[in-house]
Amino acid sequence: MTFKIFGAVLIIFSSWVTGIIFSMNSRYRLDDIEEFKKAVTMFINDAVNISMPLSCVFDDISKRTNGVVAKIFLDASVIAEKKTEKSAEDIFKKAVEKNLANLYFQCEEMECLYSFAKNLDCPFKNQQKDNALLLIDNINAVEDEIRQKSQKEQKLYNSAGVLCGILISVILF
Amino acid sequence: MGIKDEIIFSSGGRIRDTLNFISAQEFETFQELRFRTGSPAFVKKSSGEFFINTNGHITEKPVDSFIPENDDINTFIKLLSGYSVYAFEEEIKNGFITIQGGHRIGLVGRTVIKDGSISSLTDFSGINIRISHQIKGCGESILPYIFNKNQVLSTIIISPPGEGKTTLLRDLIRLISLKGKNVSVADERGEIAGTFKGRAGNDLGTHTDVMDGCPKNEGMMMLLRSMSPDVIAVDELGGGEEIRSLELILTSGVSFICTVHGSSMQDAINRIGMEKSLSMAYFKRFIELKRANNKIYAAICDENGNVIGNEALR
Repeated sequence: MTFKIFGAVLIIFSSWVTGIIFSMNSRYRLDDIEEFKKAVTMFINDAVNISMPLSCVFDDISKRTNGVVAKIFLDASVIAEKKTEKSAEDIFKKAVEKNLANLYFQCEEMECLYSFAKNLDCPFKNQQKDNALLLIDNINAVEDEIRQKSQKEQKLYNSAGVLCGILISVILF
Repeated sequence: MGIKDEIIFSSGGRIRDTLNFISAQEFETFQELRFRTGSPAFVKKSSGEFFINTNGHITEKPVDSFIPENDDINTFIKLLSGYSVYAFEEEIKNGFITIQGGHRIGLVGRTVIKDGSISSLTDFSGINIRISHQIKGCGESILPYIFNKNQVLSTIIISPPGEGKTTLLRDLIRLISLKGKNVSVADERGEIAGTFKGRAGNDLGTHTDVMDGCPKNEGMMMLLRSMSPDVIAVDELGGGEEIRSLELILTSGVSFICTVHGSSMQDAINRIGMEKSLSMAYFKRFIELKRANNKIYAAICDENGNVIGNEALR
């Protein structure tokens, strides 16, 4: 009996942990979008206020952000230095594609990433700044949506995890 | 880094591919490279103007000439700016970008007008690459004329465009600096020092400080206040605010060396808009450069316009 109870607790615990792991997905997604928002803010400062060349902007951002976003900007900086691509948009898209496997981003965030890439070739600082600010607004909206969804998902996965564990335990008891 | 490497490193696209065929030695003889949409590419040397063909050969006749398209020019400029055209907004507004090595890229295209003045250029249709040459020692024969009892005399170098004003100024800065004088350079267009990422591409001597990319009038005043210079040097002195800063410098006991577009001492004085008597009181040497038989000759005049020497520069 003790053995059975121990087994049931173990099952409930592990399915609860699985639920948490599932709910963490949207947390990572949120972390990445937070980092990306930080990167866009840094971009305004480096590119618009300090007039740094794009490769230096990318490099600087990669040093001051974390995770996969940092990796994307680092790769973009390396590609920009090589001068093999025709436009800044191509550079950034290439860097994103290189890191696609490690990104938790979904459709809406990918749109933000590509819209950032599209605006990189703009030749005027004011326009660069306006575009970046608009993008930050978009990111904020997406972030709010993800946050609400994440809270719901977190509750759902946690409860589902525990319930599944109980269900399995009942069936196996 | 040689001239070819500097140009190739900065550029891109089909224009770079064509230029890449040209040997590094050949590049050293270039004065200007011109690319216009739909027209054959030109190169200007001291011996004349030549065409560049698609294999990078320099020819006298337009046979198989390299003809850049609009896309080539625009890609070239995009890559020249390191995909950062926005970062060069101020320079582009003035019609040029200066790249590593101090080479000046002149641009033409469609102007963008804002509040009645040019705010930028887009849809570029032509470029003119003016190759910057550092000819060490070209100012050696001039140096004795601008020194008086270990004091540098304020000097104006005068010539039409492309006759070597900046080259002579650069070498004089280097030579004066090597004599232990503190020389401060307000290098608005980055042509004198050829600064790239905080490092001067050209040798300006051991006692030279460079204020890079700063408007001349503000740069000169900052240098005067902060670097305690013996000599301040600027390229292509204009009028207005720059002259007001210049008067402050000249009355503070600091020597001044600059270049001015023109063909005579009178031209230079008119151009900077300073009163003749004042110019003659402040400036003690006027160096007029003239080209003859593929050589540059310098006529050195004193403050009264008397020729005190003639020297062949190169």
